[in-house]
Amino acid sequence: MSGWAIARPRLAAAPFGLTLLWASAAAFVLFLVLPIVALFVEVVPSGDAWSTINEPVVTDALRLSLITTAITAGLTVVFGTPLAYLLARRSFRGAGLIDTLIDLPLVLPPAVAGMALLFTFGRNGLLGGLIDDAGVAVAFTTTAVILAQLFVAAPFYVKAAKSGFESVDPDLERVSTTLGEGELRTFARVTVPLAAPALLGGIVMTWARALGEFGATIMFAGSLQRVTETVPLSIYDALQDDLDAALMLSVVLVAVSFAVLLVFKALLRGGPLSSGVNLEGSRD
Amino acid sequence: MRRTPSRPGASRLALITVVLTGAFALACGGGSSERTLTVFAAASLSDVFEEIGERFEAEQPGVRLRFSFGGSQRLRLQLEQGARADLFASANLEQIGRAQSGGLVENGRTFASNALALVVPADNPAGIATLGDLADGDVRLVIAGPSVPAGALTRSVLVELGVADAVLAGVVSEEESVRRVLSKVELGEADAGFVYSTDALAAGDAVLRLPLEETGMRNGYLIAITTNASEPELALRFRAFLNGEIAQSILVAAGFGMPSGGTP
Repeated sequence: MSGWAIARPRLAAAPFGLTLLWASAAAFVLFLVLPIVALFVEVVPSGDAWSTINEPVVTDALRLSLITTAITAGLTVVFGTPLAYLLARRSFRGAGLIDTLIDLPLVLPPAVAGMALLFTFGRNGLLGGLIDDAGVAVAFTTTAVILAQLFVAAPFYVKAAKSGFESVDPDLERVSTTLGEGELRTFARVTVPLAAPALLGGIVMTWARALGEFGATIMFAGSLQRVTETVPLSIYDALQDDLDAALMLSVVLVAVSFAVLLVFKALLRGGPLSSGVNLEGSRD
Repeated sequence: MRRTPSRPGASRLALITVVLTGAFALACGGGSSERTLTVFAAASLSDVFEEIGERFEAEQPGVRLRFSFGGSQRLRLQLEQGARADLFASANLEQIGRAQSGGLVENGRTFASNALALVVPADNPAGIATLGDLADGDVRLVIAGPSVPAGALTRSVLVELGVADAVLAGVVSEEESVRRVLSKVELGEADAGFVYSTDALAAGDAVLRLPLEETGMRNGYLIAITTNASEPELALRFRAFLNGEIAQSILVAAGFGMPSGGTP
């Protein structure tokens, strides 16, 4: 309440400024929200759009997107966690360079990422001969979809996990090891729980970016229903002759993304993650 | 030392603003006396239209052509969504018909035709010799999507030859324009692709063209003036130019067929 008493006179002194502040904020929110609303306005009253929800073009794309993004998220955690931990805890030569290099996919245009992947894993790419000799095909397969997602989306997790690990007090880890816990157990029981909000945030960001991946996928993986046509590619394709399916997929994508963000925020606010770590609990 | 620390930052910001504004102004170009004709054209027309455009500009001082190339179905969609163009050159009747029934373009006029071609990368990694080899099961075939004119022609020809099911089973990607099919073959990522005979010619040594049984099936190119063209009179002139001697000889040299559908 005392906060109000201090703030009030200042606000009253600049009513015009305050109005401007609110108006500009409201206009911007409107700009960000209106396009989303427009999608729903188009779909909700339209029976044609709803009837496409069981069409193979919609269900195939959704299934493929959910499977590939889940694999991408899993691979990101498996390979990204050790890297993030090393970058956060050890100072070694080239750490700064690596840190910058792994940020690169975040700022690269997806088309460049697609070209880069094509010239790495494509048949005539850097590793093309090796891959061909191994009798595996990458381009035009679901593997290519996952590689494209991993390349553009994994850095989000590595960045988040790195700062998460950095925020964990090394003394807590030291205490744990002096109390007789092994380093792996300490990592699993102390470091990870303390860094959990950052780790989870990183996973959500990576997953969301993977779900929306378009440019690199269409260049590197091509586009074929059930094999490489994820939801964004399917939307792009359906727009040409099946507007209803494109709308339906867009709306589903918005709904799924929104739900995931809501759950994530709820977890951070009141869930187990906000309570921090119970050191006693970690000893049993 | 009266300077506040924010000063250098502010002047840098001002400098950046000035530079960006200047670059933008330069990028937009000056000449207000120049007239611009915007042409949406099928991807397979990209090389010839650039060339025809240069000849047209040379004949019409003060006129600049601006092209947007892509799959005809996508260009039609862009017109439906409000994109502004003066002319729409489609690689088949269907896309121009859909634009016309939507009230977006006037009547289309045919100016060229094209045939289907089977191409493989120059080193032919899958060792394909005939159409039958495509039904092998292990061949990575790339074609244009069903709503792309080249994709529609591909399917019709394969059905006509009675090999549609067997060949289409090997499709690994459906591209959104015929030129994307071509680039996948040029890169060697696809073992084979169906493009237009003009694309095969334009690619030169990068691809190998294999013989394809003659079906007599061709697609016709149509050009139509949009109903909201900002330069309708210029658009008429370009359409006439396209059926003139210069443009037709460029089209023929690139391997396009006569408007009637025959080969010259």
